Amino acid sequence: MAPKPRPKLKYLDSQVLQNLDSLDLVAREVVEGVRVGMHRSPLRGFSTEFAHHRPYVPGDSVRHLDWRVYGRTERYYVKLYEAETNFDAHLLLDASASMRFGSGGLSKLEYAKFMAASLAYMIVDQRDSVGLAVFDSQLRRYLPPRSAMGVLSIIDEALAQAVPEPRTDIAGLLHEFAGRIPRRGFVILFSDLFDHVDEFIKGLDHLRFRGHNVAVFHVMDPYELRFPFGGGTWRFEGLELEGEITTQPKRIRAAYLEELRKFLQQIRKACERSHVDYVLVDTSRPIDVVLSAYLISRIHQAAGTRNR
Amino acid sequence: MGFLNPWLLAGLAGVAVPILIHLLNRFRQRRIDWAAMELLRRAIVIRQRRIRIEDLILLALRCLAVVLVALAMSRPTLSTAGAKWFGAQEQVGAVIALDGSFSMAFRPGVGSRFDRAIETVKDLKAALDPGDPTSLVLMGNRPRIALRATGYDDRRLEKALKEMQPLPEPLNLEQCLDQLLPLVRETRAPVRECYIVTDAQAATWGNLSEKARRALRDIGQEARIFVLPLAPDSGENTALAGLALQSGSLRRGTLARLAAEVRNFGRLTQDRVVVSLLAGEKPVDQRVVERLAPGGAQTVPLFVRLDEPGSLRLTATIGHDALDTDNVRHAVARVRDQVRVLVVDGDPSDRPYRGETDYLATALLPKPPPGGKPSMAVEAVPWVELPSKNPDTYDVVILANLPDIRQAQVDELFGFVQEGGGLAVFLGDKVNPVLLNPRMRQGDAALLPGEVGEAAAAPGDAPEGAPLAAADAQHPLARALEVLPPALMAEARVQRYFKVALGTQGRAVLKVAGADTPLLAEKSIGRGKVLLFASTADRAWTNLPTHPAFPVLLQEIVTYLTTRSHERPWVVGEPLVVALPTRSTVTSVVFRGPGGAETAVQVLQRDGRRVAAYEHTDQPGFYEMAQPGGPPAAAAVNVDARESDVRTLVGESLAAALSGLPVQILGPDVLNKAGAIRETRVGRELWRILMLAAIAVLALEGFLAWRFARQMQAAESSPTPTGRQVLDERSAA
Repeated sequence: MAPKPRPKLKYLDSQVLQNLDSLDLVAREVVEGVRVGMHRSPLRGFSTEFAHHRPYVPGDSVRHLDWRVYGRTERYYVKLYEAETNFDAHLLLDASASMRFGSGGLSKLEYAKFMAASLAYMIVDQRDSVGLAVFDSQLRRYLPPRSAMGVLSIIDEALAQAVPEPRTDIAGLLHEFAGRIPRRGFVILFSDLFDHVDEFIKGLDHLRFRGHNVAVFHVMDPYELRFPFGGGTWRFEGLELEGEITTQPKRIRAAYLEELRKFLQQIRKACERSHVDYVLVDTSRPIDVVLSAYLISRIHQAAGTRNR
Repeated sequence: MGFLNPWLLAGLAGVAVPILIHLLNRFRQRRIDWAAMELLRRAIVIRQRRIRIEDLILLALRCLAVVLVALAMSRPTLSTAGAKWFGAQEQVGAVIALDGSFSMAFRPGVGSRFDRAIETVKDLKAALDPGDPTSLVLMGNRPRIALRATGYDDRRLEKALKEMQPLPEPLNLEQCLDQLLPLVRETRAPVRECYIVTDAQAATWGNLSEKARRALRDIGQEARIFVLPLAPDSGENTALAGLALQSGSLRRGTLARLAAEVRNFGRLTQDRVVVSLLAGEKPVDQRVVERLAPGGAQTVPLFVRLDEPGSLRLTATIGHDALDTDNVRHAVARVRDQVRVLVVDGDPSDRPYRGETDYLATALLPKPPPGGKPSMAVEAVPWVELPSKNPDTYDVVILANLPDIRQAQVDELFGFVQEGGGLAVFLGDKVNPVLLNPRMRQGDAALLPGEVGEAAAAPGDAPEGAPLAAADAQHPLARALEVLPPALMAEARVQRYFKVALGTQGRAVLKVAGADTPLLAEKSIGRGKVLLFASTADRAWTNLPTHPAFPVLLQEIVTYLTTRSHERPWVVGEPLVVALPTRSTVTSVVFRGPGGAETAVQVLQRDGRRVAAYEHTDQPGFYEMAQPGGPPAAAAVNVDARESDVRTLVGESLAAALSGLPVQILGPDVLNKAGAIRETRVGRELWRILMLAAIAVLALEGFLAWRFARQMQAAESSPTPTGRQVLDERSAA
C-alpha cells in the first residue's frame, strides 16, 4: 500500500512520522467526542457494541427495548451500547524564555514544537481533533480543536510564530485552560516546568477534576539533566531575567543534581498522584524514540484499562 | 632569630602567586545562558559556603607552603636564648679534643704548649652552660676519653684537665678523628660542637690524609668543628732521633758500637750538642756535635764495652732543650759469652778452601783480639756427622750444600728453630731439590722459606755473573750491605743459583740483579729464624765467599739469627710482642713497665707461635718480661721521632691545609674564643623543620583537595533520573 501523503510542514519530520506510523495516541480514560471514533465515551449510546441492560423508564425509545428479556422475565429492559467517540486534544506549548535554552543545536522550545507537531499529525490522522495553546506568562495563541487535516498547517504556522517570552505561569494558565475547555478531552503540556511546583500541581489537579486526560512532557536539556560542566568559573545568566550567578559548576554539580533529583521527584509524584502522564524528555534523544516509547506505554495502559 | 640567607626572604613575595592564581581563576569566567536558575541557586545556597571555605582552606595551605619554603630557603636560625624563650631547652653538646701528643710538651718559655692548651680549654668554658653534654678527649696515638657526654660541670672539667698530661706519643689524627665521630654522634643535643685544641703541628696537619679529611667531613655533618691552634712559638727543637747498635753479635769482652742520630728540627743552628751514653745508670761515652745546621742530622758513634753477658740497657741522651721527651733514647744489647755455631759441610775436602764450609769458617772467625777469647765458637763437621750433633747446644746451625738429611735431623732442627735457634742453609751442586724439598718439612710445615727449584744461570750475558741486589731494602741484612761502597758491592757476583719459590711465610731479603726469585730468603718459626741462601757457600757458583762483603754478611747473619725479636727498638704505643718457647707451658707472663708497674698478660697462639703481647707501652723506657726459667727479657721503647718536628702551621698555612673542610679556625688572635663561638652559634637551624612542615602542608593540601573532590564525586554518584529511565520505569510498570 502506498504511503499516505503527508503535508510538508516545518515542524513535521517525515522520518519521525514514519517511525510513529503504526502507533496511535489513545485516551487512557473515556473521553467525550462528537463523532464516532476509536475512544471510549462516557456516554452510553445506542451504537453497535452492547454494554448492558437497564430498566425501562418512561421516555426511552421503545426501539431499544429488549424483547427477548421481556419474553423471559416480562419486564421491560432497554439495551445499552458502548459508545465510541473521538477526542479533543489540546497541545499546550510553554514558550517562555527558559525554553530557549539548548546546549546542542536544538533548543527545548524547538524540540517541543517538533513533538507537538508530530503529535498533532498523529491525532488528526486518527480522526481526532487537535488544538494548540501557546503561552508564556499569558496565553499568546489559542487554536480550538479541529479534526480537519488543514489544522496541521495552522498549528505549524502558530508554532513557527511562537517566540520565547520571559516568565512562565503554567499554573495560572492551567487553571484558565481548565475553565475554557467545554468537553472532557486530552491535554498535552510541553514545558520545562520551571515554575512554582505547588501551583503547577494545583493547575494539573484542576484539569483532572474537570475530567481531562493530561500528559506532561517535561522537556529538559541534557546539560540541565547532567550538568556536565568542566572546571573553572562560569557565569550563568538567567533566561527569565532572574539575574546571574557566578560559580564553579564542577564544584556544585553534586548539589545541583541533588536539587534536580528532588525537583523531578516532586513533579513525578504529583503527576502520579493526579493520574497525569509524566514524560521526562531529554532533548538529546530522538523525538520519535521518545514519542514511540510514550505511545507504546499509553497503548499498554489503555489495554489494561479495557480489560478491567 | 636570624637568617643565614636573608635575601631569600624575598621569596615570601611568592605567597602572592597562589592568591593571584586563585583570583585569576575567579575572574577568568565563561558565560552561559541558563534556564534552571532556581535549581542552580538552591544548589549554590547549599554548596557555595562550603566551597568558599574549602577554597579558603586550600588557598591558605598553599600560601603557607610558599611561606614555609621561602623561610626554609632563607635558613632561619633560632638562637639558644631564642629557643629557650620558645620554651625549648636548647643545649649545646660539646666534644673537646685536646692534642696530647708530645709536641705539646714543648716548653719554649715558662709554660708548655700543653699548659696553653689547657688555658684555651678553660677559655671555652664560657661557651658552655651547666648541664650541656660535654666530652673531653685527650688525643695521642689513640684517643683517651676523660669525660663522656657528661653534663657540663665546671669543677669536674677542671679536675679532668688537671689530671691530663701530654703523652709521649705522636698524634694519630686519623684514628682520633675516627673515634671522635661516634662520640659526637652520641652527644644528645640539638647544637653540637667539636673543639679541637692543638699546636697544629705542621708534620701532622700540613698534609692531612684523605682518611682524616673524610673523618672531619663526617664530623662536620654532625657538629660544627672549631680548630683552635695555639699561638706560634720558636719551634726550636733538637732531638735524638735514633739509637741503633751497629756491631755484629754482641759478645762479652768486645766493644759495641752504637749510632745515635741527632737531628735539628729548628730554624737555628745548634752548637755543641752533647750526646751521652749510659749503660744502665753508668755513663760510658760522650760525644759532642759541634755544629748542627737547621733541619740537619748527624749520626754520632757511641761505644760501650760489653763486660758482662746478659741484657745491657743503654740510654743515650742529649742536653736539655724546650722538648725533653725526645732527648732520650733507649736500646737493649743482648751480650753473649760466645756464639756457638755449627757448620755442616755437605762437600768436605781435605784441601784448603776446597771444602764447602772453609770460607764460612774463615768469615765467622776473624782474627781474635790479642789474648782474648774468640767471639764465636765455630765447629765445622762433615754432613755425615750431623746425626751425632745436638743442635740445641748451638746458637746457630749452618748447613752448606747438604746432599741429604734425615727426617729425624729435620725434626730436631725444627724444634731448635722454634725455641730460638738460628738456621742458615746454603745450597750447591750436591743439593737435589727433589730430595731436599720433601725432607725439609715437618708435617705440613716447611722448614725453609720456600721451595727450592731448578738451578739457573744468573741473568745477563756477563760470564762473571750478576751482582747482588736488595729485595727488601729495609731488612737489616740488606741494610748491612747497603752501607758498603757500591763499587765494591758491584764486584760481588753470582753466576748460578737455585730458583726459590717463596712460601707464605717466606720473605725475600736479597736477590740476584735481574732475577725474580730471591737469593737470600728468611722465615720465622717460633722464636727463631731460618735463612736460605740460594747459591753456594764456596766459590763454585759465586765469588761472594772471597769478596770483602762475605764476612760482613756472615757476621750480620749470625747477629740477626741470634737476635730475639723483642730486642729491636719499639715505639711508644706499639704492642710489645714477645715470642715464648713452644715447650713452655706458662699461660701468662708478667710485664713490668718503666715505672715498675706489673701487668700479667695472657699467652696467645699466633701464627703457630706462642706470644705474649703487651699493649700498654705508654711510656718510653725499658720494659721487662719475666721469662720462665731464664733472666727477664728486656725491650726498649722509644718515642716516635716524627713528633719531634714541633714546627707548627699558622694563619694562612693552616687555613690552606684545612681548606675545603667544614671547620672554623679560631686562631690565637681571637681573644674571646667563647664569645666568638657564641656569636657564630646560630642556634638551631630551622630550615629542615620548615621544609618538612612545607612538605607536610603540601601533603595536607593534596589530601584535602583529594578528599573534597572525592566527596564531590561521591555526591555525584547518586542517580539522577533521565528521560529514558522514566520511560523505562513506566514501561516496566
